Amino acid sequence: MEGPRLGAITALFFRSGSFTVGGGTTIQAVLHLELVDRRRWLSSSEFGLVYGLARFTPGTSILACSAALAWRLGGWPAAVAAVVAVSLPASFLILALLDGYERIRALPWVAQAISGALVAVVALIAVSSWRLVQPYASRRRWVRIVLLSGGATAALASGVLSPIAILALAIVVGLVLDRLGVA
Amino acid sequence: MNLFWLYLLLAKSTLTSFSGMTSLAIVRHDFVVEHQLLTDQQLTTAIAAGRLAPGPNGVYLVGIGYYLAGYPGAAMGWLALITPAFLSIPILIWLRRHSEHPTFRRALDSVLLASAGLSLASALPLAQDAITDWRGLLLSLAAGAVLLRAKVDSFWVILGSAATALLYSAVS
Repeated sequence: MEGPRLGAITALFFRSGSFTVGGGTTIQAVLHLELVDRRRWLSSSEFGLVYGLARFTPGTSILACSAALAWRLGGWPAAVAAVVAVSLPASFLILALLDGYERIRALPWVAQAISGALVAVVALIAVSSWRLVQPYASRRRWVRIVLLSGGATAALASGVLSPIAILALAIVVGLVLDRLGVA
Repeated sequence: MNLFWLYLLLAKSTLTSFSGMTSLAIVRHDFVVEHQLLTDQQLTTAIAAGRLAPGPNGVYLVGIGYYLAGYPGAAMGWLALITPAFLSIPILIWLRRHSEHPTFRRALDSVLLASAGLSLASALPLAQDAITDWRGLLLSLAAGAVLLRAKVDSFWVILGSAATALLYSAVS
């Protein structure tokens, strides 16, 4: 059977990246609806496998997922087109937002609104950190969480190690904990 | 600023992180702490803009590039954002064969737990910069509670927080 055309794949990923707020989770939901339920270009299990594995690849998971899904549909040209289509509209919008912000930041009401937005961003980062820990959170695993998450926080906040050194050390500590039988 | 160097530093952050926001720790370390090319205020503003725009969370890197080197810098930020996606295809093929290996999964779990800690550590100086009085603290706690408890998109929480701050300054 002939696969979907490159233009149709690009248009679908463009729509998914341009009209969805909420980041990767929302884009994934839209892609599942369009690719699996409506167009039937992929099976649900195939989509689920790609989405699950994409979380284990470096970088932004939804971009890895988009590249791999499109690659399954139309090879490398489709993968390139999908990643560009899903990420470029948001990039232009960010530039417009920042450009506009730099022009009006001196206005008092803008400064007030921005200060309100920034405190929410701090909360957002804290909550997204918790969301990473949440799947592992249990009484049995508290030693691992305190050592790896708490240790990484302390090491970076104190400036003792660089982030990459901390990640490398975390792998070693995790393996040592495994050897010691710590859950 | 050398654009290739900028691309390499930004790509380092995306190639060593495992979700949109975990690159933040490396970005802050490289550009705010070590090279002092960016302020915490600019970093937080780029993140806010990233969350107000549609698309992937990691797109805030385009804003970082823009602050560092204008539109060419933004292009470098975008390239750094998308580079790992193309590496993902051979990695996915490999992972499909090895993802069930216990040692591999444990190592990845360790990286994810440490990434959460790094992300939190990066938020601490941003909080110092953004939360300057008890009203800011209250608003931040309320935003965190809404994000944790309610199924509300972060886009609306950021807008709501901005509107609340604006409303407070109007009535006080």
